Amino acid sequence: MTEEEQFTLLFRRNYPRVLAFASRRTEESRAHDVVAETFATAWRHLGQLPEDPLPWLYRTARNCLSNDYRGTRRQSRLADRLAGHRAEPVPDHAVQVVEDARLRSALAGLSGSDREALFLVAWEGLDQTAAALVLDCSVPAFKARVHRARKRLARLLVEADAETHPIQLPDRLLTGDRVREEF
Amino acid sequence: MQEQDAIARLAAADPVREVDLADVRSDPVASALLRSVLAEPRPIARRFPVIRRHHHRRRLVSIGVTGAVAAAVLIAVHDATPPPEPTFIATGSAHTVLLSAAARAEHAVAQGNYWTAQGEITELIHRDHDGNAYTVQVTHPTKTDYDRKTGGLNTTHYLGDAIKVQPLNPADAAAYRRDGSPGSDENPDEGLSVDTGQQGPASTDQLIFEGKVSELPSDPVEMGEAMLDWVAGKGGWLSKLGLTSSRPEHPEAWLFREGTKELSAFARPDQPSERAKLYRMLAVIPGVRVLEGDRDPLDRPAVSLALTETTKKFGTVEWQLYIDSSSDLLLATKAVVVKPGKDNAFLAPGAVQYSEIVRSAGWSNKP
Repeated sequence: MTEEEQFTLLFRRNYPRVLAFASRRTEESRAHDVVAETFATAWRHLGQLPEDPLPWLYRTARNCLSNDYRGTRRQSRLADRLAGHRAEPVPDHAVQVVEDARLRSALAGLSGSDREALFLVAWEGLDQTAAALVLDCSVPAFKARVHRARKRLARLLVEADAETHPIQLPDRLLTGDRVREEF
Repeated sequence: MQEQDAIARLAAADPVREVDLADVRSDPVASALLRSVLAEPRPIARRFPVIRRHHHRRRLVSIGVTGAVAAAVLIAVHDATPPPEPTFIATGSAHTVLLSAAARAEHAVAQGNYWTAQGEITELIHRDHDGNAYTVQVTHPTKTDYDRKTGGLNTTHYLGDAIKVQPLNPADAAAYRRDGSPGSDENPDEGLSVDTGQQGPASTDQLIFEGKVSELPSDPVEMGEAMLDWVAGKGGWLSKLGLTSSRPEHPEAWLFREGTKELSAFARPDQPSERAKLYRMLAVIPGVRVLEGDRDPLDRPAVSLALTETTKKFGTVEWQLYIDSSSDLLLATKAVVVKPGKDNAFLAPGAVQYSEIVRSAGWSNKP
């Protein structure tokens, strides 16, 4: 198999998943740019790719997105300095596109690295070894991170649900009984 | 809430489902990207030899032309710097705009058998005659009639009294009057030599695509390559001598201009599917950008695109096109001088050296 055939096979197998990865994390037009940069990088490093290239492709796409995000933040800071006011932090694209408002609120309460760990598991469906490769950390470190993130997300979701739908108290509590905090 | 429930809820909120994504093989954007990446050179050592296409280094065919012509041709071909291979893109605003135009073209329905387009072509002409040097803007009405039943096409460029001559400034006006206020004339010594070939400041030595769009590949990248191959094999003055000519010096700009000319309302109307192919081919050309504003030169709703080309002959020229916002009709094209070159040094930056404006166009049942 020639390198062109090898790359074509790799491209056809992984393009939809890399496009989905990028589309979850940035706007559509930029997602295509990220995918193009990712596969151009893969083509340049074809001989060095691992047997399962998907985590490597995700990691490359993530680097493209990080560069882009840093550039946008620099421009935003400069524009705000020129305009004489302070910029409000903008949440990740991945958080903004979640339709469930309470889930969105809960995700916004997580750190960026915790969110990314959860996304890789829940959206990309990666196992812990592959996800650790994407985040460039050890498998034990990823396990610890995702464990912590899951706990926080569950707690934040309960809080978000409670804020939107106040708990209906039983009649007996309304008569003076104390409510015990259970979470 | 259990942690597993939280993860399940997050999974259910996935904004992009992979099953909804198009099949790579049938996705033109994916195909264009794959070809674009494969066209890039690899910086690392290859295990396999690289086979690169060199369209521009085709062997000259020996024919019975005079020695002088043959020598001149050989010098011209061998001295030429090989034109770059075109690259193609798959993203961006211009890409999206042109794909939208392609979709509108594909779904357009021709109401009638007769196509009529009316408008005007305007160009800036410089004349230096009897010591009077001046620049005038020449506007000549243009009309195209096409009969779908017979395939008969008739494009008329009205000259003579129909043309409108407007000197650019008072100094040009004075020099024009001293020169006798000439009208158009085929003989440049007798009057203004008006270009009716819908060329504008093209810089590719008359390399014109005259092939059939219907015979070009549907894949936009392959289509562009096929057009470049066609003109290298059959276009240009070298081919008129029976010799193979080269690809255009600036393939992207050439494809942009020739694709636009094929789509012009003054050209033979192509089938909706062929017009869609042309728009898709334009969509993968790198360097095309969307211009600000949502109006054409006649203040009609339009989206405008541009590509900039730099040559020694015409300096830096911005090729603009205006597409009707609600159809696939090309309302106008313009060649705007950004920085003049050798052959248009008489113009200031910002001058519209050439423009084509469609005032009305459509199908009807009346010839």
